[in-house]
Amino acid sequence: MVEVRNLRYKYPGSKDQVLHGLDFSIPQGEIFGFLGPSGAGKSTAQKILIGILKQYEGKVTVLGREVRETKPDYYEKIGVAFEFPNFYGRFTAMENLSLFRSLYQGTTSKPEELLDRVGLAKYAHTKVDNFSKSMKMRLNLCRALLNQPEILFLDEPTSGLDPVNARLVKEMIIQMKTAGKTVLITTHNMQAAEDICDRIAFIVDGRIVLIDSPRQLKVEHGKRRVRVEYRKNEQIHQEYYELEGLGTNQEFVQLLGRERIETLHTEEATLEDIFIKATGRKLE
Amino acid sequence: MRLTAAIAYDIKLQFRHGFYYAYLVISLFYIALLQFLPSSAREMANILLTFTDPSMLGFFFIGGLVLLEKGQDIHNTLFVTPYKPEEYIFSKTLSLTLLSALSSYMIHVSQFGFTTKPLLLMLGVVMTSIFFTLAGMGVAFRCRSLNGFFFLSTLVALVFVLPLSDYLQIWSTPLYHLLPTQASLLLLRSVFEPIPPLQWIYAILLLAGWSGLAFLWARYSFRKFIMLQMGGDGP
Repeated sequence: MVEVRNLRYKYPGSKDQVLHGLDFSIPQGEIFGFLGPSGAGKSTAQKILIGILKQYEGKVTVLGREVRETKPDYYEKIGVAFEFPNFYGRFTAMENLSLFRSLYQGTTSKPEELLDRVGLAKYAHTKVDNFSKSMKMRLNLCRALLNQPEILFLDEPTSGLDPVNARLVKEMIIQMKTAGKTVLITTHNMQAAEDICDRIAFIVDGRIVLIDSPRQLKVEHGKRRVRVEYRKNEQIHQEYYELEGLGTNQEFVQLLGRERIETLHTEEATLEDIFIKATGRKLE
Repeated sequence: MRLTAAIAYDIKLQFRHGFYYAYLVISLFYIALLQFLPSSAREMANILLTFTDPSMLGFFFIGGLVLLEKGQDIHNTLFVTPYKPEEYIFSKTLSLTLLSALSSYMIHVSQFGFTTKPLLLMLGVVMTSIFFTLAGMGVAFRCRSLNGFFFLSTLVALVFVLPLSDYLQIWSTPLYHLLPTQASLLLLRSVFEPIPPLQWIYAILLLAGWSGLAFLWARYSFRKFIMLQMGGDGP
């Protein structure tokens, strides 16, 4: 679905290379996350993939087409939502979606159905100027889905959303995957990436430093042990036990039987730990 | 068709932003002004006002419109659809030209009724509006604020209104014949002082040539100052 080989890029007039040879591929039906701090090059990579920046070096094919050779009809097949949702403020939600819908020639979804899916049906005839950030973010997702895209590019899709709406958006993204669509997310929100991405790539200073599934990364970089917290004499105590032979570890088994256990966790790494370890930098 | 839909939404947007009311007020003001002039001066005044209507108003209104859209970062969402930059440029130009043509015709008819043959006059209005809207768009793509736009556009506009000094018999030079506004004035005046075919062909070709250049410049400015800045985290 997406094939990137040795992608290099520098902005016109600039001496600095922004991307230093990215290599990755995304199969159909995968939710892929690009994670990295601001200025790492993830937005530039996304702008190349969506055909805005075409003066790149290397090979970038999306839906079997080299992106630098695509024409505006490329956008019939892809959906894009940037982090900051922008609309005509004097138009209502419905007018905005109808306007954007009129720009496509292929099959499109009905705006009212999309608005209903994101809980905005009753605001269809409200001017977007009166929308909150959360409402605009959801409207932005509707806009990106209007043309029933094969592949969806989302920049910080849960930014500015309350937990309920963040979950709604994440569920919609997972539904896209279930329908066989491919989704590429750019974010610095580790939790959102972990919740929905099949694979993630850490990008720092224009290079991919790690690429794998969140689960695999967490297991590989974690400690193979379990942490037990229990309460005794009104004090919280914690003990660690190796995962190897845990079931036959008498001390562990006795502790479970003897004490009032409050929490029991394996010590896999968090994505944030892995990121800091791999890059020496923090996500902002 | 995408362009037709885009023009319809642009007209709706201009209506929503009060452009049509603003043009109506300006047109009524012009009509009132013309009423107070002696009939001997009315023809010249009509030409002058008709000239400033599509040229200056189109020039500044397109600046406001583009900067408004830049302020709302609407280009980020418009150009990740199959909408082509050329269609955007045509849609904006034609929708504002329609507004200019309506208001110019209204002013003209209010003074002279339906007794004149305003075909060349309206052609002049339409072509002048197209040229100035394209030129104004090119300037607006490059500006970040309204103040910047007004400064830069005033400089550009100043060059193009110079042929008015010839029309007002203040000063003249043959070089004016190379400027599109000379052609505009020729077409507008033709409603009162008929001109031979060679002259109106010259005027039409000159305005068309300048409009072609203005279009190329607007498209280049769009690519450089809008497309490359899209999506945030720019260069």
